[in-house]
Amino acid sequence: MSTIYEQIGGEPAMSAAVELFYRKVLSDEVIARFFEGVDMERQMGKQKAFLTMVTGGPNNYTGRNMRDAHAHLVKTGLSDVHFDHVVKHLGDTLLELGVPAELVAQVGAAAESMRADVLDR
Amino acid sequence: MSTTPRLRYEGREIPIEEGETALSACARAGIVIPSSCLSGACQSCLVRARSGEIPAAAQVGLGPAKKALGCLLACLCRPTGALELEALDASSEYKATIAAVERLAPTIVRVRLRMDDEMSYRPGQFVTLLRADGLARAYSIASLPSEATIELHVREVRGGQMSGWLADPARVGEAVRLRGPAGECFFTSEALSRPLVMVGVGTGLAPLWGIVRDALAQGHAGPITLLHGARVIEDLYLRGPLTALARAHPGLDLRLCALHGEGDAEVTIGEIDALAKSTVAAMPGRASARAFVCGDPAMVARLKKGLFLAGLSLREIVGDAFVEGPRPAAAL
Repeated sequence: MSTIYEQIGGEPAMSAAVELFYRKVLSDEVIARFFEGVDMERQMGKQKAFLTMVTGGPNNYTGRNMRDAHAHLVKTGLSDVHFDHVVKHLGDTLLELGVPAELVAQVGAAAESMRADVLDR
Repeated sequence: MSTTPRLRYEGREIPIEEGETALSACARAGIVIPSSCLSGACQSCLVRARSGEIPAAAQVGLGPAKKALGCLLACLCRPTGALELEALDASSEYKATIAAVERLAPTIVRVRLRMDDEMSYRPGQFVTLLRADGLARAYSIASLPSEATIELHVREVRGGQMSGWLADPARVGEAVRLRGPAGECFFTSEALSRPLVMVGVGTGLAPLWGIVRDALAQGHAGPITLLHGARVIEDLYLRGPLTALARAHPGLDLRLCALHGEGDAEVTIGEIDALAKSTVAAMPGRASARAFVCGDPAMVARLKKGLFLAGLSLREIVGDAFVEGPRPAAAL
């Protein structure tokens, strides 16, 4: 069975999706402050790796990376509210790109499985 | 038909077999080009062709600026004829003479250099200018290669060693050296009908003055929006030539912006990133546009973010951030 990554078009589709996703994230006042002062190109590279991972594409995900990467943000107040917003933007992005709702739900579940790592619990 | 591959690296003849990569041939000859993935993904083995035909496979995944500069990946490069390569940090030095110093605004001068050595460059790239005593500063190139002199725009920095020295008309006739050119902030002609957006703050206009004229000379047919911002209206230099250029090219939309001032109908008073964002958000075809943003690093970061949120693709936003004062020697 092919992955969602393959079904939505692989790497080229990821590049389009990540721009849409990152634009939503940066435009969201609730979470934008966590992205202040970051290098946008590097950040988008990470967003692409994240999208690739949650859609089942080739990746080197380790929960430990996710935990370490967000630990400093947890100290400045990163919480469930912010995580929920990011997951919602992820779902909206995929729906906008025409991904069927049941596949979007699968991706949402994959993202959800990272909640404890991201929020350092 | 197969031709025999021939390879030179940094001027040295390297024995190479048919089907062999430049990276492998160099390694056998004892030349270590940094490399890692050997599949074209990590780009650690990026080198540049001085001459010869570049195999298309050796440029897969490179951006248009790198391609235009002749960059290629040594690990994917299987020469099919004669090919001469060099390391990217092989920066050449050129002799030049100060030909003219002309005031453009209260704190900005235009310096024209006559090249004593021939230097090829792309308008918008930067060079490091070295004084005889070794003092070095980087400046963007505002001229076109077809012009007789290299044009630099220099903002006089209070107490600035180089800018104070350059701004003195008595410098005409002095010898300097240029290192470089470097940077990827220049026009590439792979899509002549897409919109171009150019935003320059202060002497960030210098590369854009070169890029916009280069684009028009190369037959760019898509709409061009050029925004120039300054702290005060008096610092909006080259207004006459910019206005004349816009009048001659209906596809060129010129917007001027100053942080402070009043009584000038052609100048928007306010933050240039807000103007850039609203201008681009109303622009048809912005998703395929390319943008050039030039100014100090903080402003370039703000402009990049603003243009991205307004709908431009981040990959298509070329940034040229400059700092006043010392900066590391020109590197690609």
